[in-house]
Amino acid sequence: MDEMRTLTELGADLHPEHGPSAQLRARALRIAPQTGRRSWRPVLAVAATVTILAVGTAIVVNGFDGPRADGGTAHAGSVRGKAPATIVETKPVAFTVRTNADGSVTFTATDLVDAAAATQALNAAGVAGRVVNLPDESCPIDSPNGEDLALGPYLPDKAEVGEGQDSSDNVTVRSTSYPPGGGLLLMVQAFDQTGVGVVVLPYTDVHDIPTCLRLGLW
Amino acid sequence: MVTAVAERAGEAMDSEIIRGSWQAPDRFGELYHRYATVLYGYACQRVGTAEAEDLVAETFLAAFAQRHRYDLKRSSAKPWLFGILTNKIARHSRSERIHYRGYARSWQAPVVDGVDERIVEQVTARAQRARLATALCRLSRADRSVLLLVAWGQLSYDEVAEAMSIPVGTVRSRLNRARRKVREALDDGTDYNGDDS
Repeated sequence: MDEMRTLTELGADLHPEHGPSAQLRARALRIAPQTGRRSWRPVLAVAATVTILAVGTAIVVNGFDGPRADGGTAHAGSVRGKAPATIVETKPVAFTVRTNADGSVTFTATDLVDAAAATQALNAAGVAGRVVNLPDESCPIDSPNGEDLALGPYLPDKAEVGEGQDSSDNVTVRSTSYPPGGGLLLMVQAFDQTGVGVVVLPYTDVHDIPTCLRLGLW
Repeated sequence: MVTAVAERAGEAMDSEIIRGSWQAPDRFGELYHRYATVLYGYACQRVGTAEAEDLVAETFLAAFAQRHRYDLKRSSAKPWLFGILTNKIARHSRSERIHYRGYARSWQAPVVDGVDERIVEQVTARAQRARLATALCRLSRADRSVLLLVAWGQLSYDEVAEAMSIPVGTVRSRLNRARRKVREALDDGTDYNGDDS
């Protein structure tokens, strides 16, 4: 029997009867910056910035049971089990911020984090920016009917990402990952089956970084 | 192919959509429309429905984040998206093996009365598929990915090379090796229950 034909038949057996759920689209695509942020700067500034920036970006897939014990030259933050300060839904805090020998900073998340504590630890390690959960259901909606979300920017154009998306299970960033006056947005997203993802986006102006994010409408 | 269909219909090429999403991020949703179902189907085949949606969501999230680095000379985003998904699946090789073994275990040879050739053929074919599912567990991740991108993902050799960032010659050699091992497993003819780890 031809192995490729059998393989095709096996593929047919394993193929789902139905397509993806309606919820997948929102999970896969939609990230809408919300209140507490400033307006996005003009597109010209964006275009100039995008060509400059390059920062390590990674999807952190759950590979750790808790804060690392092996530390590093400095352990700027390691909080777990503390009630979150800025999100409505209580989540266990699970992140570490570790300063490495080369001056880089490694952020690891194993669940949605205490965003305020994580941001404080990140800043204390010398990296400007903010850590937010996605979604953060306490994040206010700009428009009562949510229509502005559909029309608004998915992500700020000035945000850009770099290497490392699929090659690392933690995010390592440096103060040189963004220009002076800028900063990093670390978005922590929890997935049902595969753990936690962290995406890093650099900003040219640290004040432009959103204070919270929620899944928007499309 | 999706892109070919898009060309015929006068719709935007994938690369045009990605380029457009640099300034109008919402345009990235057009790629989701084109590829979400096929990626989801492929992910289900490899890891099962329980984890497939997570992996597809991660794939599009990663693709969006990387869209500024997309090579616009490549009109079709299919290899790019399959490549990202393949990397995601590689992190779940244990789940993948459990998925295949589960399929193999789910089959038991029925007691067949008489000699109805059609039934015999169906039983034989199902036994072969169970055997093949177990054989997939024995392949290296790299060989398995090449084989399944061709067989289930319907990617050409060039597209597999692009998806996995390897030369086409490597695709051919991995595919040949994978096919040989699978063929040997099928020719072996012993019954499988999935316990070959």
